[in-house]
Amino acid sequence: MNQVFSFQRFWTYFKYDLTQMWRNHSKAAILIGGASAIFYVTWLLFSLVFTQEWHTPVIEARVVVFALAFMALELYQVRTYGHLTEKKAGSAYLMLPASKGEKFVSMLLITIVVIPFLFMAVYLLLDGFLSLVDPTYGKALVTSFSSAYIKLIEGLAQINAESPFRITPSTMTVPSIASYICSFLYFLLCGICFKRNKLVGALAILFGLSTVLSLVMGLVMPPIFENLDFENFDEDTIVRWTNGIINGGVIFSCLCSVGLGWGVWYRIKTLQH
Amino acid sequence: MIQISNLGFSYGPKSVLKNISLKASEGNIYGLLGENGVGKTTLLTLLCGLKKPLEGSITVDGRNPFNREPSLLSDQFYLADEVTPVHAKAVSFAKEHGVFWPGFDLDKFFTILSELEVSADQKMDAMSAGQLKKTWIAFALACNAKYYYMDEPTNGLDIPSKAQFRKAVTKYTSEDSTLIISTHQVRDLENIIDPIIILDNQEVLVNATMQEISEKLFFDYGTQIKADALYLEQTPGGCIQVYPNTTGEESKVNVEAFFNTVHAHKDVIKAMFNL
Repeated sequence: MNQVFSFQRFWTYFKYDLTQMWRNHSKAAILIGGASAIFYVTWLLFSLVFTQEWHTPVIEARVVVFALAFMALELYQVRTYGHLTEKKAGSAYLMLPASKGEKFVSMLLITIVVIPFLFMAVYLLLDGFLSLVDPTYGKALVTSFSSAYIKLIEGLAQINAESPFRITPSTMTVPSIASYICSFLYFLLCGICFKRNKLVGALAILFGLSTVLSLVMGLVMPPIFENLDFENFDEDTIVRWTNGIINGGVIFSCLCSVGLGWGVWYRIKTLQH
Repeated sequence: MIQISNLGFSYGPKSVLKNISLKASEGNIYGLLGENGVGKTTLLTLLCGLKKPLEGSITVDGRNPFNREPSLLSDQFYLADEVTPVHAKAVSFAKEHGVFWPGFDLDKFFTILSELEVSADQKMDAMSAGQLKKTWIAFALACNAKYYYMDEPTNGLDIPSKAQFRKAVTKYTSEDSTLIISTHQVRDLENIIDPIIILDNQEVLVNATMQEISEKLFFDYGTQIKADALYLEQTPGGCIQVYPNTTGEESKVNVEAFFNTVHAHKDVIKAMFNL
């Protein structure tokens, strides 16, 4: 018997994990995904009560609500596998005959792919439905996002044509995906590390880290800027700096994703009840 | 075979198990006895791989349980004292979880569950504590595992269910299965457990079969009180006395009386059983 990773056993385990996820977390994911409809109804009710007119949410507000809902989904990851550290939830997860590798991969797929996909599907479908049934609602978010993305690509192409910057959709995609993975993995890791007050703990660490980082940057950056000769900055230097910052961002976000992934793996490996 | 060598475990500064060595061979139902807080549950969780030994080692058929390898996990089942109320019907729970144990038998699950008088269509989180325990017991036995670690399995069961549990354990486990059952309810299980392991603060006081116990100690259920009795307990119809078996005469072991004898004369008993 393969003790490390068997695809057949992984598939069995993944199906099991999906069932558990659906049973325990689908309601929350659908509720968060339903934020578009909830927001639409609330906005409409307020407008009818206070102005007696039919007003639907403006596109800017809809984008903000989408961003907030997505953030709520990220925060929710502390709960998806949070039961692993709760004794009352039992030890079935640890005692189930599947390897740690299979449990780890399944956990990552569910956290990074399945739950966000479920959320996006529910959110965008509801939003699209509202756009279909209410002409005053405006365009569906999915079409707004598509046109914004096309505009972004066209804008970048123009920048690249006119200047020597290496800002391309692909250089932006890697850090975007990595930071998305980072945020989901971070809350997942906090969920399986803390025994109680998982969300408070996760946010407290983030607050602590940003405070420390601000202090360090406050101490390190001023001397660097003082020694820079801004008057003699030529185009090459600006390009070199910009590309360096972009590459640094790519490397940093990738390292963070790998580090957090390793943290999740290590936690699964060493978890005790 | 389960081999425990110089096992040590502590919760922070509080040492629970120290220098424990044991062997558990196949085909036996071990009764793990001990007072509250001596480390029975800790030992069971170490055996099934839920905890990592801080000192010494545990091997189950040569494998380290804490590695939690699928091959060993599918050979064992740990039944906790407090079982989890899963948000699903018993039948769905069994189907979803059973696929991971190669020997799992759904028909056997239904049979045991019906013998324990629980409906498979009932939602587990709507069951009473006893029904939930019975569902987990039925599932555990239907897994056809080689090693079972059961922590207080009769807790929460009503009187008929305790008898049904005894019957199910003897009927539905294979001859080469090894069960280690931790319990305070010795009367519930004394007809099925053999050998007996008695844990005390950080040590094993006894690990002996019923045969060995009855060879070394005599359990007298008569009315005449003996002066050399190691333990004496008055009962409504007479008394139970335990004293060294000098004649080689056989007697029925009373596990509760034996446990109390061991606790009253730890050094005498340890010397008697060469521990």
